Amino acid sequence: MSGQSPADTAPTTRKALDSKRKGRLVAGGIGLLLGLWYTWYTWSNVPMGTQDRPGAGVFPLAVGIALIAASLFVIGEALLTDKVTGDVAFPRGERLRTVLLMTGSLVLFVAFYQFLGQYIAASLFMVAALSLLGSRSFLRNVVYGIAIGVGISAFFMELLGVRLPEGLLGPTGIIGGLFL
Amino acid sequence: MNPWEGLLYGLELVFTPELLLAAFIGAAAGTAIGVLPGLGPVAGAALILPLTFTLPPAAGLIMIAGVYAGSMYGGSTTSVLMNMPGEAASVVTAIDGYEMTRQGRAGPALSIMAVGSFIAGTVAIILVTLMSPLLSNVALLFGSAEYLALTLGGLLVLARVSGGSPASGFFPMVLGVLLGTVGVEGVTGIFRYTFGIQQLALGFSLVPVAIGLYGIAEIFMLIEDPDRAAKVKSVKLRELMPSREEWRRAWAPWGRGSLLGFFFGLLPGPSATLSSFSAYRLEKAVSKNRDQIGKGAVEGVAGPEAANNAAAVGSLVPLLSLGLPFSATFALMLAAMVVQGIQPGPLLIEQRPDIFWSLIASMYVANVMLLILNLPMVGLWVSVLRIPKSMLMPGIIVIAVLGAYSTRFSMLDVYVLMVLGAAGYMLRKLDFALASMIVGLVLGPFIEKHFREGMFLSRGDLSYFFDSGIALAFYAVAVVVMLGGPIWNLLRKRLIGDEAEKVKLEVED
Repeated sequence: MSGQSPADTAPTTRKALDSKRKGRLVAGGIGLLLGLWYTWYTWSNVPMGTQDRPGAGVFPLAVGIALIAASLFVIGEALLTDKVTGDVAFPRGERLRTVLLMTGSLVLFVAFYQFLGQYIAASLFMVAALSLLGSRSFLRNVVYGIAIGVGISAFFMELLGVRLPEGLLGPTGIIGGLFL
Repeated sequence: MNPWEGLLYGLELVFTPELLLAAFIGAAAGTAIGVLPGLGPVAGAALILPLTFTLPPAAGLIMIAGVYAGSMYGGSTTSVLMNMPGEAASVVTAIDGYEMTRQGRAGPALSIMAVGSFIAGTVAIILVTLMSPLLSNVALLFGSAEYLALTLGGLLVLARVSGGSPASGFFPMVLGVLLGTVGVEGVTGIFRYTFGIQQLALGFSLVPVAIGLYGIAEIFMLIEDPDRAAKVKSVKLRELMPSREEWRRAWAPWGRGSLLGFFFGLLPGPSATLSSFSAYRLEKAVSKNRDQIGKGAVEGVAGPEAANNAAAVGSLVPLLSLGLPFSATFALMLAAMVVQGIQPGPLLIEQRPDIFWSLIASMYVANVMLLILNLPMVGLWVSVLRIPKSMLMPGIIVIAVLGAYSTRFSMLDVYVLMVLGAAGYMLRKLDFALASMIVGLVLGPFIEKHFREGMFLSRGDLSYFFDSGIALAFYAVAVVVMLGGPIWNLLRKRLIGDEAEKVKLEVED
């Protein structure tokens, strides 16, 4: 006996829609929505000009249409072909916790970057990250974290003269103001 | 000034303590970044880019050239010692390089790699010196139609070649071009997609986009997978010298790899990676010891390493003579030039010969620097991997954040870094090719500029873009690469061989 009946192959096709293909479907879907919105926004808000003097909207309109096409291509490729397959390996358990906490620390670092300033924000972030990623004592994490945070900040701000937020240590900051 | 006088002039400019120090810092930082798995030339160049803004133009560009060459070299070092390629162009080196390490010949493998990179760099520099002025003259004949065909065709080819599947390259490419449309429009001064956010008027800066997509995304990949660190094999200085037989066997592959790599460097796409695979394939086909390749043959290290270095240098030709970057790293180099007030292109050699020739000379100095510093200090570079990741990763994140901020002293760039970091993480997990997104962001405005110029010149006649034979040739190549899937697969198989299956060509050179 040769060949498989359609009934045999159908479940195989469904099974083949693994997490990577599903993920690409989602990415294509988001791209499609973005493309539709972008094209609509461009059409209704950016001047198109005339054929001999094209306006600022002509090229973006083409880009919007290209994004719609590319997104449909991603969706089609994920649904109909097995060019990109496999499982998306997201971290689980303890590693997931670490990644999420690191993400949270990074968000807080950025949120308070200007207020705290480069020196303090970088040092606090380093202490938090060392505590999350390493297995040293809290005291060591604090010492190493401050040393690395201050070291990197001083290298860029004092040695290279890069202008970065001074925050609390700046002339208008709570701590920096005390020394003026 | 003829090319040789130009090169000597460039070398004269580069041999100052300040520029040599810049080359040293760039090469050292690049090597350190290159040995870390995952962090390759793009992440390295993106992280170092903001630092270069505070330097004089030549020093900044030399530093980036050093980072590029250093990260390629660092990636190959871990390939040989640990079977752990630091970046895609080093994947094929690991096959014979690691086998040599297992046979106790790690030192000679590293020496052959380093000397080969130096020789290839020298050959490629000579070819760049000869070709760039010629190409600049040709480029002066280009009009809007030719430039549009070159930028659009080049971008499409890059997207097709660098992504594993067609959609993997095209989707991020269009996203990159879309990001490039944000900001004040050049001709009419209209604010596009800024939504009242003043800082968006200048559009998205390449630096936070590149650091986010490559730096932040990769660091989080490393954080979630601590097993990517490996036991490091140490190499002593006295073990570095290859035997006479090994030297003898390396010469021919160095020569072949250099020429092949340079040719690949001229083309849009992941040239360093493609050339290293092709050189490996070439050695398997023509080498006298082809039966030993894959089992620790010198040829398997010498050819690919020479090729990827020559390709890296060869990519300077389109950047300098046409002003067009066809790889993510060179897109960053272009950004560095623009910030410094330099516009690469056919006129650069006439208007700023100091920059033109010192940049070419700087690639050479970076190569010499790597040879002098890295080989004796191989133990030091490998020990970068011994630094606890708990310190290294957050340290890089801090540098990424301050790097993004310092580009334009704007928190918006830091937010862009975060968003693109998250996007890059997800897109990588889903096997999309990020290089085409970065190049799309840079080339998108070029495409729009040449399209609109052409429309103005031709009074709206679209046939203007297809009247030129050069433009038609560029489009024809692009169409063949895009639609010739089966042809491309066959070509890729022939050029690259079975090793193509061992790596996705989602690369970042």
